[in-house]
Amino acid sequence: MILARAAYLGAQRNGTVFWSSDIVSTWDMLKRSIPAGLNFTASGLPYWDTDIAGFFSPSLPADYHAEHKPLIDGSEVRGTIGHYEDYPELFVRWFEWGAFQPVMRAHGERNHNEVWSYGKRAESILAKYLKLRYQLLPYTYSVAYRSYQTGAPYMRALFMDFPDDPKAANIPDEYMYGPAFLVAPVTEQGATHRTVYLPAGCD
Amino acid sequence: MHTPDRKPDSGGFKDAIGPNIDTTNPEAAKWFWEKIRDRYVKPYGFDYIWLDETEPDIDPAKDVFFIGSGTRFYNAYPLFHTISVYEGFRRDFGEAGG
Repeated sequence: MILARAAYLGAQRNGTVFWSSDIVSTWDMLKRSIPAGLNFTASGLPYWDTDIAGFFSPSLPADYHAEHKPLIDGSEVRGTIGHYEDYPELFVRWFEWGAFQPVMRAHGERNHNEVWSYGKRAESILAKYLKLRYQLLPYTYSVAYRSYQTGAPYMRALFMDFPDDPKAANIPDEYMYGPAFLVAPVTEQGATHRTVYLPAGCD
Repeated sequence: MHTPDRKPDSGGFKDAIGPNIDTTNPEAAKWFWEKIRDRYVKPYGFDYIWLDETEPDIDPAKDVFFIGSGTRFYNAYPLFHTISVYEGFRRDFGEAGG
């Protein structure tokens, strides 16, 4: 296989996985990456992923504080995260989403990508999702094989599975990961819940 | 890649990095793959290659590709670039990989 950045129609024939390039490690980037991926896979290139937790570390002002109290305490890993106090939470949320991307990869200019590098609380969640990813490998392999057979992506916007629901046509932050999972990542800092739209006909 | 007067186009980069490789030229595509094969795949057995930049890092608008003008084939660069490695891999290692 080939991991590559820039794509062109037809390049899906070449055993390619495309990633969304050198993006900045912010909540805004996490949020915008979901529709970016859905648009990408809708153009016929099924293998897409992101650098989990972003590539470039943003330069934060010296008096930076998270908008809400971080859900994952980073005080024990200050040497790794500096004063980006909500970075462990961002890493965890992005990693959770990564378990449901066509390929799961943690990468960035930072020094650490290990599940144990962002504190004990983060570690238990990251380990859980890493195990989930491995548990799902037979499923992911099967839906990927379906993409190989049909050309249709297995990470795909709701309109592809729910064409009769006009409301499903323009939802940027939910998608299907194969036929079994509707994925709705949490992309708000400090959020412990979010609303999920269930398309008509899925009950 | 080179300009219409056949001058290599190194863009704003130092000569040590050199111009974009024109993988629309079958000879160049073969050379590129064989370098990767002999330096990385054969000795170490890698079967998943990170090509990183599959876009032309130097703007090809003022250059010519083997198959035509830089403006006409501007966006197709990643297609040919990935073909060079994919087809080389298949040719030399078949279905099984390196």
